[in-house]
Parts: sequence; C-alpha cells; structure tokens
Amino acid sequence: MEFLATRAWLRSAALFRLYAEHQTLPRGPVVHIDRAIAVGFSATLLILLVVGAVAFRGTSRLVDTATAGEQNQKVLGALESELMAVFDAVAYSRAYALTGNAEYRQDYEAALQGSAQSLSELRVLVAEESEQASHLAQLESSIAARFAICAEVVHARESDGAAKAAAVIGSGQGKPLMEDIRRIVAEMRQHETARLGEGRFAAIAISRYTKSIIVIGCAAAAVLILVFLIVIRREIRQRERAMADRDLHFNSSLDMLCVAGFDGYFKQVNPSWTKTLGWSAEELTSRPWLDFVHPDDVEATVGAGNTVTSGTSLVTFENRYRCKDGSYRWISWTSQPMVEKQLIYAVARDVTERKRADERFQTLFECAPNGLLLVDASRRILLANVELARMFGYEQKELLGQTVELLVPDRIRAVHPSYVAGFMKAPKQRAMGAVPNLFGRKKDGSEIPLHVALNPIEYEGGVGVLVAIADVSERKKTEDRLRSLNNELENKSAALVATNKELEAFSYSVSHDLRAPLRAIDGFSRVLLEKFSDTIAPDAKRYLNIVRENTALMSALIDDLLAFSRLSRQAMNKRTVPVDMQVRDIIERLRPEYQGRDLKIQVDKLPPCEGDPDLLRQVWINLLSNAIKYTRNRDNATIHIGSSSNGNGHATYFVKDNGAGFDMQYSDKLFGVFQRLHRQEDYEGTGIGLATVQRIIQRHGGRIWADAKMDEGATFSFTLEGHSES
Amino acid sequence: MNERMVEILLVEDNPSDLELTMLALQENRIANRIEVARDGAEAVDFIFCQGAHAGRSIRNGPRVILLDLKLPKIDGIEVLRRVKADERTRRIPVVVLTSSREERDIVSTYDLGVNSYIVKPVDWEQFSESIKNIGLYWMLINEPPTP
Repeated sequence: MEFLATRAWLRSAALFRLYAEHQTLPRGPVVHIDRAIAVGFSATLLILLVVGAVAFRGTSRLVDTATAGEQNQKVLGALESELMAVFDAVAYSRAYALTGNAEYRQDYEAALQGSAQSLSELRVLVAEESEQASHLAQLESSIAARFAICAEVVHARESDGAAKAAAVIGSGQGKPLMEDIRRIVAEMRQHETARLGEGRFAAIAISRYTKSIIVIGCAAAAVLILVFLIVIRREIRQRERAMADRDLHFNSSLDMLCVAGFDGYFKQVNPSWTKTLGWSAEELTSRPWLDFVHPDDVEATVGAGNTVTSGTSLVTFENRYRCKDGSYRWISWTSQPMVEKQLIYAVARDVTERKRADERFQTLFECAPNGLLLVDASRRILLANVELARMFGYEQKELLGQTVELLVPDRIRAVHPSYVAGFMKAPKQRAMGAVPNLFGRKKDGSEIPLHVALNPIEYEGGVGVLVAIADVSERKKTEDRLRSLNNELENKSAALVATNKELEAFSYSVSHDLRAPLRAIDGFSRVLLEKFSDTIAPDAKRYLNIVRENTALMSALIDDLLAFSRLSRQAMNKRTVPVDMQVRDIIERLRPEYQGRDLKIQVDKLPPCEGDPDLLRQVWINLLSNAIKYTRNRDNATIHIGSSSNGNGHATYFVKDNGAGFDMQYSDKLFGVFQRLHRQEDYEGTGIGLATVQRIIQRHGGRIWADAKMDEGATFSFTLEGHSES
Repeated sequence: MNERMVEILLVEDNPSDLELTMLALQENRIANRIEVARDGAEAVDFIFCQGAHAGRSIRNGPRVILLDLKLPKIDGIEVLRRVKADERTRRIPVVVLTSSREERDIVSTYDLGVNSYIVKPVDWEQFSESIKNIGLYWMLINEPPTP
C-alpha cells in the first residue's frame, strides 16, 4: 500500500516538474508555430515593402511625366506668345507706317521685346531637346529676318514718309518669312503636342501597373495576416487550456505544490497547503518559509535549501512544518530548482501519519520482548531488533545483510537453507515453540535454546519471513526451578492437609474427651458437696467450690478454643447482612446479662454490609458482651453503637463504652489468643473473644482496632473493606 | 413375658459419665429399668438381640436409647445408622448424648435420623437438669408408636 502510494506520489511530482518546465521551455509544436509566425510576418512585411516600392516608383514616374507635360505646355505657350509677338510687331510696324502714330511705334517696340522674351524662354525650355533647339534656331533666324523688314518699314516711315514705307511693305519680301515662321512654329507645336500625348499614355500605364501591384500585395498581406491571426488565436487557446489544466492540477492536487523563490519566500502555494497546515496562501507567501519550520529542523532545512539553490534537485527531504494551531506536521519534499529563474518547484506531502506509523513500528519492533528478524526469500537479514542482537551477542548493524545461517548452529548450518526453501515453497504461519529443541548460535560460538515463530509476510513486492525468537534458556531454568518449587509446594501442601486433618482430629477429640473428665470432676465434687455436706469441713467445701469454678472456666476455655479453631475451617457464606437488624436482635438477646443495670444502649442506624451473617453475628455478640461486661461497675453506663462512612462505600462500625477501658500500652496484646488485660477476679473471661472477632474480620478482609483509656472506656472499631476470602 | 422390660438403653463407655448419668437419672427418679452398654458392639447386640442378648425378642426394644458417639469397637454414629436402617428398630427414639459440639456430628446424626442431639454440659447442675428433661420428655411426654 505505502509503496504504491509513494510511486503515485513520485509520478505526481514528476508531472508537476513537467508542468513547471512548460512554463520556461518551448514545446515542439510551439517552436513550429513561432517560426511560422516569424516567417509569415516577414513575408507580409516583404510584400508590403514591395508594394510600397512599386507605388513609390510609379508615383515618381507619374510626377516625371507630369513635369515633362508641363514643359511641353510651357513650350506650346511660349510658341503661342512668340507667334503673337511676331504678329503684333508686324501689325504695329505697319500701323505706324500708315499713321505715323508714335503710339504704334511704342506697341511695336513692346512686341519686339515680348518676342525676345518669349524666344529666350523657349531657348531655355528646349535647350535639352536638340530637334526643337534646331527648330528654334531656324525660327529665330526667320523671325530676325522678318523683324529686319519691319525695322526697315519703320525706318522708311520715319525718314522717308508713309509712301516709302508702303513701298517697303508692298515689296512683299515679308510674306515668305512669315510662312516660314508659321511652318516652323507649327512643326514645333506638333512636336510638343506629340510629346504631350506620349507622356499621358505612359502615365496611364504606370498608374495601372502600380494599382494592380498595390491591390495584389495588400490582398496577399491581408490573407497572410488573417491566416496568422487564426493560427495565433488557436495557439493562444491551446495555451490557455494548458494553463487551465495546470492550474486545475495545481489547485486540486492532494499533494502540496508550491513555487518558491531563492529569496526564501513561497511565490505560489496550492490549496492543499491551507488544508494541511491551516495557513492561508497569503500567510504562507508573506513570510520566509523558515518561519514555519520546526526549530530543530531549521538547520537541516537551510542545508537542503542550499542544495536546491545550487541547482541540485532534492528528493525526499523531510522536515516539520508548524500548523496554524501550533502543532507540527511532517512534510516530505521533492524539489526541482530552476536556477535561471531563481525558483524552486516543489511537491510536498504530509507524511505525519506515515512517520507516526514508522515510529510506532520502530518502537514496536525495537521494544518487542522477543528477538525479531525480517528475512527475505534469499535468507538475507533485512531487519533485526535490539533484543535479537542482544540475544545472539551481535551489534544490530553486524547482522543486516548477512544470511540467517549466521545465527544457526554449525552442525545444521549446511542443511538450514533447504529448510528455508521448504518453508518458502508453502509459507505458513508457525507458532512459537511449535518445533521443540531449536538452538541458536551466539557470536561467541555458544548455543542457546530457542523458541521460534515464523510468519510469512509480503513486503516491497517480495515474500519474506518475520521470525520471532525467544531465548528460552532462562525459561528452561525457570521451568526447572518452578518444577522443584512446585514439588516443594505439593509436599508442603500435602503436609498442610495432613496437619489440618490432625488438627481436626485433635479438636474433635478435645471436644469429646477433654469435657468428660471435667464433667466428672465437677459432677463428683458436687455429689460430694451434696451427699456429704454434713461431714465435710467448711474449708473443704470452699476448696471443692474452687475446683468446680475452675472446671467451669476450663469448660469455657475448651468451648471458646474449639469455636476459635472452627473459625478457620468454617466456609464463608457471604451475602448482604442487615447489620442494623442483627445488632438490635443481639442486644435484645443479651438482655439477661444487663437486666436491672443502669445501662443505656444507644444504637445508630447502621448500614448493611457484605459478609457471612453467622460469623458477623459472633463479632457483634463478642463486642457487645465485652461492652456489657466491662461497664457493669459503672453508674450511668452507656454503650454507643454506630458507624461512619470511610469515603469509599465501606462503613466503619464502632462499639463505644464508658466502662473499665484498658491501658493502650498493652493494646498489642488485645487481640491475641488467651491474652487478657484484666484479672479473672475482676472480669472473668477466656481471652479468646477478641481473638475470635479479629479472626472473623480478617477473614472478611477487614481490620479492627481499639482506642481506650484506663477507667474511661473503650472504643472498638472495625471495617470489612478490602479483599476478603471468597 | 419373662424377659426384662427395658425403658432406657444407655450407651456410655466413660465410667464417670456413666455413673453421673445414672446418678442424675436416679436423683430425678426417671427410670428404674435401665440397660447399660459400655461400647457400640454391646449396644448393637442388645438392640438386635444377638450375642449375649440373643435370647431377647427384638420387638421388646427399649423405650429410648441414650447414645454416646465416641465409643469403643463400634462408634455411636454406626450404631445409630444400624438402628435407623433396620425396619424393626428404626422407630426407637435415639437421643445422642455427647460431649461433642462438632457441627459435622450434629449434621451426620440428624441425617441418619436421630431424634435428639444433646451436648452434655460440664456443669453438674446443668447436666443433671438435662438428664431430667430428657427422661421426662421421652418417658412421659412423648407418645411412642405402639410396637
């Protein structure tokens, strides 16, 4: 059972370590997912970069195209302006020639300037384009030639008048020049317009290409992002589930799981801790764990802690933890350090019960009065207790691992293994002493007689034998001694029986034979006194009376002695005795002894007791007769009979009188046979009454004692408590 | 009827006791016809009309037997047993007159059917009184069955 539990616990500890490792080390599938996510995101990023680059280039080219178009437009505009300026110059030169109006002359000048300006613009604009530049050069020369005619016109007007001017105009030399100019401008315009068209077409193509790249790239990126979003979500769920599983295991484990820091504090403890120790998780994590460790275990715990923090995992370290209620529990630890995280993952288990069981087992095993051995199937000694080692004269550690033949006498050592093999074939319990005359071999080689009990047991999955061994050398000696004592006792007992028989015969014979002579002495004395009263001297009469008195006393002595000796032989017949009734009856029966005397007898209510009614009757008769006898010389004599409870349910009875009393210094003689404290002539008696009383009370297991003062009275008290003969 | 009528058979071995008993009986004028047996055997012979008394008729038994227990030859208990065991004699009243106050004697004689058990007092007056009472009772007061 224990081994199985331990195995399950170790498995649980391994699981927990596995979980602990999950927190820090990536698992196989996690590696894959992470790389996939990295690759995915890189691909997405690449796509977006490509898209960006394409868009950037497209846009740049569009901007270039637009700039080129603008140049063309500017060229076109400048050509227009130039053409207009040429027309204006021609028109205003002619207008001046007709009118001579200075205003026209000014306009003509302005037109010349405008032409010059436009031409300079054009020169700049087409500087890059050789074809246009050559066109422009032609244009410029044509314009210059035309303007020379105009200047001639103007000059003719100024100097020669309108007619001369008109002649110049009418020469018609300006017309082909104007046609050249128009043609060249048209050519240039056509060139620029063509260029303009080319640029627009290119722009459309660029924008189409760029657009399609952006759309495709974005779509690809979106798809990639969506895919990885799904993958990541799934992974997160899996991780959450794993975490939940871990938490469930952590929280529901019956073992005490914890995560502790190298700083000496618990970081996390599961509910089993609270269940076992009573401390809440907050209490456990807010104080160094050493605070909870039993003072005697602190040193070992610090050592174990150092082992773990140095990176070594720890298996089955045990210490005591204090519970909230102040008691301590034995905790067994399996700890796994994570040096890089400065954490210890530990599984702890409450082994208090096992520990107690171990201790109990240890105590039982070690304190067993018999020698105990646990032997495995191959006859190796697995355990041996102190008594066994002592019995055979070895140290315990000398025996462990040895074959059991070490303890077997040399003469059967060779065959012993076959005995064991035979036993192992059908292991069966064998009682102590079932096989007689077994011997063991002590370390010093001597042999001791043994009783051996065999008990097959299963342990750690194997079959072994628990051997109980008793050294019977003492017993043998004791048995011998007992036997001789028994014989002695039997002899004594027989002697006692014989003595008793003799005593019985003796008292029987006393009863018969001693009385007859007395009767004869008394009878014939009396006959003498009666028949010869006339002839007997008065002195002789007195002597004869003394003889008779002594025969009476002798007779009383014999009676009392016989009664006393009967006491020891008489069987006890115990029952509840109504003491109160018995005492009152006896007082009534004794009335003739005190009739007419000044005697007051006070009887309290007396509790019943357990005893032989006839024997107790004799006790009361003797005590009351004594009281009556010893108060007879007293005026205002009183006898008080009462009882007191001595606290354990037994009554102490007493008879108190104010009679003659006695001197306490002779009290030891009071209860002796034939012992008397008064003279016969004062108070007659045989000296057997109180001896009889004491004998009866002793037979009841009770005690009697007296308290008295000379001439002041006596109190006899007795109790029947304690063990009595049954 | 030529044989002597016996009123009391006194079985007593002790001569002093015998004389004192006879004295007491005479003093009290109880009976004249007294047969004395000095041991159990004599008593048995007389009662069962054998030996020295072989000529007697068993039907002519004593009115009462005063029996001591401690007797030579056959003891009192045995005499009592035989008397009470015999159809012809068992109606004869037997009074044990003994010194013994032993309980076992009292019990065993009663078990055998003794008619009375008297402890002989040591004191003469008391002894004399006892004998007188026995005689008066068994001779005068008690009504025996017709033989």
